[in-house]
Amino acid sequence: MKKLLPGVFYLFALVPQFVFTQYEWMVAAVFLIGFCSAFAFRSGQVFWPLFIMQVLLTGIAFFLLGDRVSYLGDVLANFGIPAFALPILFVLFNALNVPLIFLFGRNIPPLFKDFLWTSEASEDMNSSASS
Amino acid sequence: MNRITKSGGLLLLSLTWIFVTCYHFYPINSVGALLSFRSGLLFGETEIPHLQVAHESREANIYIDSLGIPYVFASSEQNAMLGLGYMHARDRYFQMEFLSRMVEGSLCAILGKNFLRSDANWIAYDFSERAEELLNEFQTQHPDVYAGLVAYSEGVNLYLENNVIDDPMYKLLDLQARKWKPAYCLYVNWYISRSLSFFDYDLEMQELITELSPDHRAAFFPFNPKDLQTILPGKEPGGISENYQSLSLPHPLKSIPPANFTPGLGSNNWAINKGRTSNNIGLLANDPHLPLTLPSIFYEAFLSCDDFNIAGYSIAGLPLIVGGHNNHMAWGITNGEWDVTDRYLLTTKNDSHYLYDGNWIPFSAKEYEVPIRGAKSEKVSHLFTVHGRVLKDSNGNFYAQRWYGAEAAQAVAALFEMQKAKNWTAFRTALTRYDYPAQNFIYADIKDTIGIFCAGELPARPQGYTGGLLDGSQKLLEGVQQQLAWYQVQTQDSFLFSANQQPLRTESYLGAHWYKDDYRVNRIHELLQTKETWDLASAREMQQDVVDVSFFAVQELLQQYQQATEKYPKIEQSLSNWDGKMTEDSKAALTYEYLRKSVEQVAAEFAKEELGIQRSPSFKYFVRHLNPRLSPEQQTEKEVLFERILFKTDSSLVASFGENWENQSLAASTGFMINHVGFLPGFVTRIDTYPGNRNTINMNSVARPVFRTIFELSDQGIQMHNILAGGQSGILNAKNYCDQLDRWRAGEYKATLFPQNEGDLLHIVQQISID
Repeated sequence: MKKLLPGVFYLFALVPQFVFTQYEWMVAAVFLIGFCSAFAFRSGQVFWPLFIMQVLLTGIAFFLLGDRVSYLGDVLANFGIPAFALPILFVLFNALNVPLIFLFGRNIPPLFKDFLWTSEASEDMNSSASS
Repeated sequence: MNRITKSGGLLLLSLTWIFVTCYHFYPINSVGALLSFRSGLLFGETEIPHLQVAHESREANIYIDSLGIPYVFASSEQNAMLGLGYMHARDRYFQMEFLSRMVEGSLCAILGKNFLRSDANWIAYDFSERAEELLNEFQTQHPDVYAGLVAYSEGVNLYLENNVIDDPMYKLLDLQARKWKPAYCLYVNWYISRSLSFFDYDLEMQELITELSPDHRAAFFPFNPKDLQTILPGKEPGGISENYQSLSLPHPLKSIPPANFTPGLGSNNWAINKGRTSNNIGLLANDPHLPLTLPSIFYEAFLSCDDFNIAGYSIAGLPLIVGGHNNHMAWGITNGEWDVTDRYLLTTKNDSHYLYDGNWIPFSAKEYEVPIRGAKSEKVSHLFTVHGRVLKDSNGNFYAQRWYGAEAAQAVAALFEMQKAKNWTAFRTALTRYDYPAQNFIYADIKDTIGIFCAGELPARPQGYTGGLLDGSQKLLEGVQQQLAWYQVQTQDSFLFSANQQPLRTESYLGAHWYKDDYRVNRIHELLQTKETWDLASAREMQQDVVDVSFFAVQELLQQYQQATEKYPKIEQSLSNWDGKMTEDSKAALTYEYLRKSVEQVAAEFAKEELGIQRSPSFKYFVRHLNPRLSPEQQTEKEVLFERILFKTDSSLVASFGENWENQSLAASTGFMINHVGFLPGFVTRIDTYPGNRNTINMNSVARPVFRTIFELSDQGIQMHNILAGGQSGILNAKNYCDQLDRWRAGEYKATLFPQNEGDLLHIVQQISID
């Protein structure tokens, strides 16, 4: 069960992008899920599993719905950028976006913890040195 | 400590990413919002095949075919307008909001500071106040028009309230669609009016009047020339009246930028009686030309109610069919190009007072606040005189500018009536109250009557005025001239046409029609006169005719100046035995297009160097001046000028295509771009090649046919064949966004349905029931 926990959080982190019409709400939701995940499990590899899942998911979404943004291919072409950059742009952006927001949320609790620990440790060291 | 640094670094990186992806680069939405799934451009609403929309008091059935053309069936005229409003909102709301905001002077509120110049200009017309006044007037004097505008606006808002706005432009710009008001319909009318009737070239005209000798004026800018091909027959032209004492220019014109007047823009319409057709079916053709945009300003629709059935092109934002047909008649439009903008030279004191009717009067000042998205509002102030808005040039001279089109919008009421007319008398009567922008309305009905009505209002001006500056110290002439019922009607074996030329020979000043080349006008006249029998195929062929008859005038020069021509054998060889057809695969057409442009360049240099004026003579009068047969004086100088033309032609061809330019065809230089509404960078569609040039009927200059229509009229009814340069939808990713563009480019037409009832409909993909 404990081994499945990271996977559950990753899946939760993928959901907001399909739910929220306001981007800022989506960012907040992914951040919150990442924040909570810091208390639920400790795993060194968070970014890459999420990145790969996002590549697959956004790739499928783009494959199915890419026609909706085909006009952007023309816009890129007008700037001298080849049209195949469009799927790369969409997939790469989303593959980076969710993991980075998730990581941001996830890194805050340990950072505070580490920071507090370091302050306490330095205080202890200072007090032991003075005594 | 190392772990803290690592975590802190990662946190900073993530934070930077979040900040950048959430940042609004006004007017564009944040990158994150656009590229993420649900908030972004990939997501869209799914279209429901049968949609029910509730309305407490109105009902209409709308059927949409595979090209996105709506067929609105309603019980009353107002309900039909409601349906049209609903469909305009569904397909074109961004365009409608963009145009209405432009006229209101509030583009900056959605698009940021880049549009401040536009807003500062439009806001000074006070259209919101004028619209309220006009709506009150409509409410009492034309209640049916008022009810139509209200019902239309209800239809627009009904769509906005019942649907998620799925237009990528709203996502790109992170905007919410605003509610539509009846006043915005009048704003759209003013936008059209300004595009078609704002010609502020009085300074250039003044220069011609004061700086040119009578001989030069007669040679290069003749007033009412003998060969002026008018729309209507009229009295012989008078000379310049002695009653009017023209002003003199306050300074040389060198510092004034050229006026925004482009000769060679143009639309065409013509009607042919049944007796001149091979199948006894009358014809009416119309192809209005404008700079193309995606979406086009025009929107095809069919409206049916108890009172009428109408099909044709409406304007997004207006509940009107401006070119189309009903059960009885068909009609089409070309722009009248009447000059309804006056510029008054002011005599001023201390930059604060102006002389008017013997008194020094202070300028009245008005300050406007322009809200700007993402920044603080800007204050814009304008000065006014009794003549209009004050302009100041770089030499310190003050002018007042008055654009008459801003003062009225009776055109809306006139068109409202006109589209329901059942015969020529009703058509003509409805158009009598039409004001701005002046249009040439062509008419044909199923009883074989054809007619043309040059509709518009002409400002009252001093007798003998022929353009140029007016005296701002003189008492203002109010009102309009009275000779406005200009029309002609034919009942058998004839034709009528217009191509933006002058309506008739008159001493009244109408605009700069005679400064333009009239090759297109003459070509239409020649074809209509010489071809014995017509049918649909020949009408199509004529609409896409690419013969530039100006070539034959230049051909004579090539023969006359044999010595100069022989120095450029490639040009001579390329143009020998050419028929003037500007087809894409023609090598001679490419040579001629460069030659034609070189003539224009040398004419511009000649105007500045020899005549000392800014405005170039038209191609026609400059070529006529060079022709030793028509103008025998100073032959040596003229031969030098012609040789300069050939040199420029050759060197520009070499510069563009290399030494072997003779192997290139016109296709190498005829591409153009179509801007998308919103005018965001990169949002353009390229058309690689297109036949014709500015002198041909199928024109290829700044303005191109926005749509082409041909109507076949018989006792059995009216059949419309048409095509739109673009598509019905204004939504970038809709399948009807530009699905007619390739067919338009290929010169194809579609036969349009004119159903008598809902059972006659074909290819319906969606039904919307409002009840």
